[in-house]
Amino acid sequence: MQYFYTEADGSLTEVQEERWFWIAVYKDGTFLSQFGDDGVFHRVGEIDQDELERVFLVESETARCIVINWVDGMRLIHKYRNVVLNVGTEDERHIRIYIFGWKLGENYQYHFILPNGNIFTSPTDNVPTTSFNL
Amino acid sequence: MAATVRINEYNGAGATETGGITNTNMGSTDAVNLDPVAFPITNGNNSYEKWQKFEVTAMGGSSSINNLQVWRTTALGANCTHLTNARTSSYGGAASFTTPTASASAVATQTMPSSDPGAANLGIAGSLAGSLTATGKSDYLVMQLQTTASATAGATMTMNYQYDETA
Repeated sequence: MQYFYTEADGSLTEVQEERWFWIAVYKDGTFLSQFGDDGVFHRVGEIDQDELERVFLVESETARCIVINWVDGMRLIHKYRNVVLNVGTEDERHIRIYIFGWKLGENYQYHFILPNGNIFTSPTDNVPTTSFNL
Repeated sequence: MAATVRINEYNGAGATETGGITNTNMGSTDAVNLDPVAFPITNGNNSYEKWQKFEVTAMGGSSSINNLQVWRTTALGANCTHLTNARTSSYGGAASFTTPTASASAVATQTMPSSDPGAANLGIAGSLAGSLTATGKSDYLVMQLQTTASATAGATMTMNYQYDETA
């Protein structure tokens, strides 16, 4: 299936499906999926975070998921950390780490989902990639 | 598709841009993708500076790119230092291009980290906290190898890059 994001000028950008994707479930039982069944790609900024019940990050192949049970005042953290190791060598590697977590006041929790499926949890974002033994 | 990011290099007095370079070989000439065998750095001399940028050529549906990090792995030989303007604190802002030189760089003055610095060390729009919300480029990444007369021949280094992408 193809997914598209509608830019501000109305043009469509095709978006590649991700290995892990989010689903936001609202207090009224409705939900918003990053990759909608209608082929629409949604950004995190489209989530109404004041009305959330919980947020899932789901692995598409296995349906394994991380669930954040939402508390009023939380803010969602979701991004991709792209690492290019050994640039220009035969051993050049492109690695995409999924980061999923929350901020509540001055408290943070980050889940770093590694290519091998391991999940590394930290209260800080600035974790050197050497910690992941990539 | 995810955002598309590449490394560009700038050479000559006119900052001729080469998009999507394939290596960062450093040597005794100001050229992109140079052959280090043909242009070796002789003991006691410096390489020509490298002036490079991250370029986002497509956002791919994402909303921002930030947290740019660069570092070196593999050990340099003795009496050789790898210097850069990249740093995680006291960042000097966006460097203004000057013709790459083999004299001691006035811009690349801090040792290149030899492991992931763990925080942004190259800025966007002059700030380590900067971000790109559309196609565009980072500040210049400036690098130079400096040797002494006792430097060992044949040392190599490998570059590594990292950036965050928010969808």
